[in-house]
Amino acid sequence: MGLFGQLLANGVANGAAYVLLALGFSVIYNATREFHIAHAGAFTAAGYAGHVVHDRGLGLWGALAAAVAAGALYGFTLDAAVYAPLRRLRASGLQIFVASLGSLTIFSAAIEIAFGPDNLLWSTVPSVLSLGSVRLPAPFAVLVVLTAAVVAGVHLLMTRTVRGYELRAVSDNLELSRGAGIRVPAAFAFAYVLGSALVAPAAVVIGLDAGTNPYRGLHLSLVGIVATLMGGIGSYAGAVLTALAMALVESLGLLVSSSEWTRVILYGLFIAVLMARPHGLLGAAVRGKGAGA
Amino acid sequence: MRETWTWFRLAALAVAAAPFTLGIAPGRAAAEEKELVVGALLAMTGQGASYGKIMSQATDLAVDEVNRAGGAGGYKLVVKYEDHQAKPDVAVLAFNSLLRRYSPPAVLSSYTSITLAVAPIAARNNVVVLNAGGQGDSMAGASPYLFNVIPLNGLEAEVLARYLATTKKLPTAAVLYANDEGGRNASSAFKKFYEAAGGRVTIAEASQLGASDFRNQLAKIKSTKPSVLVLATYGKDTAIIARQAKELDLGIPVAQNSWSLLPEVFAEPASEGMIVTSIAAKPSQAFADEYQRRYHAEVQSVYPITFYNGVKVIAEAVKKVVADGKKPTGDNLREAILAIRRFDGVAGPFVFRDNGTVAAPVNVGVIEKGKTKVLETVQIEK
Repeated sequence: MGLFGQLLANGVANGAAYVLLALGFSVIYNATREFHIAHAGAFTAAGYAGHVVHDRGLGLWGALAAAVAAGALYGFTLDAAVYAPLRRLRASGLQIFVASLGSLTIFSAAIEIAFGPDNLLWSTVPSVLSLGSVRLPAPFAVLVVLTAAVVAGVHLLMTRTVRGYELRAVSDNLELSRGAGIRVPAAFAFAYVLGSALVAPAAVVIGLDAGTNPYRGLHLSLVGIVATLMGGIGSYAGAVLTALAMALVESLGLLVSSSEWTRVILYGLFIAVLMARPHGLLGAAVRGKGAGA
Repeated sequence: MRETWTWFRLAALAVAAAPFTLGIAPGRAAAEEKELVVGALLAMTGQGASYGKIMSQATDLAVDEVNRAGGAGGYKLVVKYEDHQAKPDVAVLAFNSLLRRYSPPAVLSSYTSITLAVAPIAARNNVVVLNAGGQGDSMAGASPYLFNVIPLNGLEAEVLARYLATTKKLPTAAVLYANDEGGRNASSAFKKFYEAAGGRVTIAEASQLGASDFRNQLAKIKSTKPSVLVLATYGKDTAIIARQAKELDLGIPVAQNSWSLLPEVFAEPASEGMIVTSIAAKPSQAFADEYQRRYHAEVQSVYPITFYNGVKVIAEAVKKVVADGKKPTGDNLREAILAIRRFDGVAGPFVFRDNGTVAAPVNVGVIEKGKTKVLETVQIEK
């Protein structure tokens, strides 16, 4: 029970971070169908903003507010400066992907120049919660609660607000959305702002736990991308559940194999799911190629 | 009008030719100060950037010193850096770029996986590789053009294993290693020597370079109830692992080889008490003072010494090649290094063996108040 309990706690804690990355990517991808690999930069931007504010004495909540603002600003800027102009030029999905990759490279390099390549440890060492033999840093417990609140909030946004209806509409059918009078560029911009801001709690908690550096976002974003595709394009629930399941496979997988094999198992499952269900576990038919807003 | 243009062209030609006729041609000035480009393939960005910073600082310091003293055999050394980001695939591209742009006869390298990736390319192009930062044992004799200025893993692994099993009487160990060539090699070397010394390795778990969470591996390690945790991971990861091991209340000593000797690890409070080995190389006072003056840092790890020594090996080899009336090509430098063999390093003399490796005594110490306190020094003769 000791090892199982600890691995379960680790899995849920990491799963919370994965869920936020997956949900953020999912919000953007479902609306725009743009392969936004630069999503990793939102994690980086949020992490550094949180670090700067936290180490100026404004605490965890100040760091969180700064991280949300930085993530949102990152998403807005990237959409306005890179993706929107490319859409107007009728760039292909591949061209947008390459632009996204280039943007991430430039942003990571700029961060590295500004802050240096070192892992910046935050000035507060988090306290640890104990439940029997299971131990977990307190910020991860906060992250689990925050993630649950964020998932509920996004669900309400998507199902109860005009903005949410618009995002779901452009996700389902772009042409009909245009015909219905939805301002697609504005909907896309909102998707980028929202999706990028969603990663902020994960960036702050992971920064507090293990430090902030210019490179960490990429692995986490890849997990988010895989969860979105495996969970099912168009399905927020699929992305969330798959991200959580991935974290649990990573941690509980150690009960039956060594850590060298957990990623092999994870990505093997990903390929198997895609072959069996190309639309993902909970996905419906794909809207079609190219956003062309 | 045409006549005016003709005069104008003649005047322009005369102005352009003047330096040559007066014996002050730019080419002649350059010829008087011959330059020899040396490559350096380091982790300047990415997860290994902390190492790259230290290594490049020492390289610059040594190159400046050589050039201030008149250069190497009349050649001014110029170092050109390429960034391998601690990734072998990036390293191959970076190494080819160095060869294409500068054709250096010698390249300094770091990391086992990187050095092994570029060694065959170097051999094909007759370029000497001086590994001053990777310690995987598989680099011994890996290429006729490869010289390891830094002692390889086996030495430290043997000393650490014996110390833990015999001196500290810790009967079981768990290993957490970086999942790359260097990490796997350090892990297997430790296991071999620890079991030979009567210890038992309860588990060896891998970790991804640059990960933020090692709790899963640490939880599994804890469940095997080892008496010591041995790390074969790199600097930034080591600091995080030390912190997370403390959070999980492993309650056992943590030990590692000299890869742990980085500012991030010293700065991490959870590293206090960590048992560490290091190459017993005490730098000369003049070097330590100059390093402190230039970089406002103490020489805390072996890398400033090995990279400084690497540059000195190149400089000595170039001097010999020039004295023998040859050109400083990779082949000639290789022959010169093999002919010289014994070099005076900044921390004492060292000798290249036939398999391109060097030996050195090993310190066993403990991290106390952000510094290493040496407990004993062990010389292993082989």
